[in-house]
Amino acid sequence: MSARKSDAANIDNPETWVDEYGDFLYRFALSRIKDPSIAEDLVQETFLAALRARENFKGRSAGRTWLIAILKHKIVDYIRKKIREPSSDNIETLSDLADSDFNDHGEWQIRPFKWAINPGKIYEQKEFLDVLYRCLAELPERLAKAFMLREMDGLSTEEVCKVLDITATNSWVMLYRARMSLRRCLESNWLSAGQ
Amino acid sequence: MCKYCSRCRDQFEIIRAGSCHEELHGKELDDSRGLSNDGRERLKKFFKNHLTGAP
Repeated sequence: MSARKSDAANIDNPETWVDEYGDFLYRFALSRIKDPSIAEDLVQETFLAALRARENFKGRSAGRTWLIAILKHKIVDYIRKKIREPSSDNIETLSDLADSDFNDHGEWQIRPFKWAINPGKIYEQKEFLDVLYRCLAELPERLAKAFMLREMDGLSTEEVCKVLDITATNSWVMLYRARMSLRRCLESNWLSAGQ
Repeated sequence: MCKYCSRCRDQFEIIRAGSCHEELHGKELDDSRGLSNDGRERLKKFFKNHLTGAP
């Protein structure tokens, strides 16, 4: 049996999920959340959401990839709730940042910095990844959803439109705004902290 | 493409890389950490209850 078929078979047997995927999902959650008990709760929420959406798993990706995508949504939801709490550490919010990146002449208002990161070694940038997740949680919910469906879940534009009930033009505008907002948030909160 | 637009495009690529591959994230994970025994049992019980419809 191929690895993909074997993985799909595992997804068909939820009884095996804890042993097959539990530790990996837990480690992933822990790497972003740091709190062991919350990481375990998020793994449970992920499994519950996966159980409910099991029929949507089409085997296009590995089961682990599918579960991780669900977990990422749960992590961002958790961070979103947490940063709405008054006692939460403040991150410079997207609404604090300049709304437009360009002036009336179409020139950059604040010129983008060069980020000294190799995308192929992004896993070495723990602080960057922490800030990225917090910035994602700061996005307006529908923008974050559009971005995560496209980039984390790997959905096509057509599929994103279907899920969010929007036109293709709307989806491109939303994705553009999400990316520009994320880069601004990262420049303010990660780069300024000293990359 | 202007210099700053090019930087912006590179930033989008970095953001995408940080968002999309669990294999990349996987390399930063600590293999020595895993679910606690209690957590594992709780999850298994949760599954058992959920799949059998028990409360």
